[in-house]
Amino acid sequence: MKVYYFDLYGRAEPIRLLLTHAKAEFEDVRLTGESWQEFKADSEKCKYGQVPVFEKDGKFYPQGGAILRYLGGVHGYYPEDVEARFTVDEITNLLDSDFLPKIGETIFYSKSDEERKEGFAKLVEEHYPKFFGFLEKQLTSNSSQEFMVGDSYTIADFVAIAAYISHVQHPHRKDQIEPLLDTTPTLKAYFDTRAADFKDYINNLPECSI
Amino acid sequence: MKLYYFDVYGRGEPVRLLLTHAKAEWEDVRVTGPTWQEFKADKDKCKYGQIPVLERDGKYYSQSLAILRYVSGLHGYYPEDLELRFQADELTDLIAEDFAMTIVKKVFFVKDEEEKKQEWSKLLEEHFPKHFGFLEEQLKGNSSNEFLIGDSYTMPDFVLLSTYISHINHPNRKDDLQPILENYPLLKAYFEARTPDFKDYLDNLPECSG
Repeated sequence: MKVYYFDLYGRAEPIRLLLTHAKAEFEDVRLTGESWQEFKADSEKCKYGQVPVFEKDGKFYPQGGAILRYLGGVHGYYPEDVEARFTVDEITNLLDSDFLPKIGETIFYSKSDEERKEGFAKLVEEHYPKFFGFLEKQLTSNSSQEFMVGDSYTIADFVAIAAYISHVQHPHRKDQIEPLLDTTPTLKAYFDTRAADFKDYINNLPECSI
Repeated sequence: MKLYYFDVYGRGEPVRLLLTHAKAEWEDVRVTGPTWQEFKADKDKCKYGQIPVLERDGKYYSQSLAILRYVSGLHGYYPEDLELRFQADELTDLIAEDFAMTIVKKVFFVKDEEEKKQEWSKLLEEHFPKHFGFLEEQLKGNSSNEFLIGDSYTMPDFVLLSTYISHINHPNRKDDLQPILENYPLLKAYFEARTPDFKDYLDNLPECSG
């Protein structure tokens, strides 16, 4: 099994976390420059010209969200019950589609360092607190405060922990982001508890910009 | 059941099409102006300050794709088999996010008329052909050319038909898009096969900008 992505956390990190937790052996392939151009040009491996792509038994699976749900199904992290599955989808999509892209846009697509700094300051003031608030609400209304949905790992947890790695604990951002968690104590405790399950993994994380 | 959304096709249309095909009893609630402000302010109904929202048995469900997967699960449009389910997720994200949301962001949300026109031309040249090509490949490789996966309706069919309504057959855009569709005969035939199932619905569509 292989996970192909850039040398970033980004859209691959939830998949890497899931496979790590499932103790599934996989090769963490990080494409850059030439190797990316080569992979991108191979329409059998890289159907839509994008990554992440997951490879298993000679088949190539594109689209990060679909990969996550597939592996969630294979390894028991995606509920069969339609109501529970809805909540997992709700939180996963909240993070994937509403929370993360806006941050990525500011970091990657700002036209100047000044614009990036100002844009990020606005995110710290409004965007991060808003979404930490949503997650706090989910945790406090959930049966367990130690998982996003139900009382065991689902794909929603892997997306949340990836956000923790990419943002809350990220060397470039933790000074601004970590203090925000003081107003969402349940979420803070959730991250502490969940990160402990990935102690070795987190200690050996490559340094990435996002 | 009620679906709350704006008086547009947008992110609500796939759910409307699915519920119509399923012959489910539901109310198509279109919020505008004051009714939108009222709904938005109600945190029990409108958890994230966004729509669409589905109401069912007194519960309120947010996040358009989570709602779509939920009603797909309720009505038998979400495959049980993990490999087929992967395809359903892959195509849904491809069409709803990569294909449709790009058009929304690059054209619909742009205010400057000149920029809008330029972006639209670029999409006609690259974006539409690229994605029509992906869908043509999917249909070519499928057991039936008349459905995206297998030989019956699944979740991504409703997303694709929604783009037919929003774009390919839209009064403001069909003159630009139907010529492009001519280059993708399987996709063209797919729409010809599927749209008669929605004849009454399509004949009675409210006029919306997108």
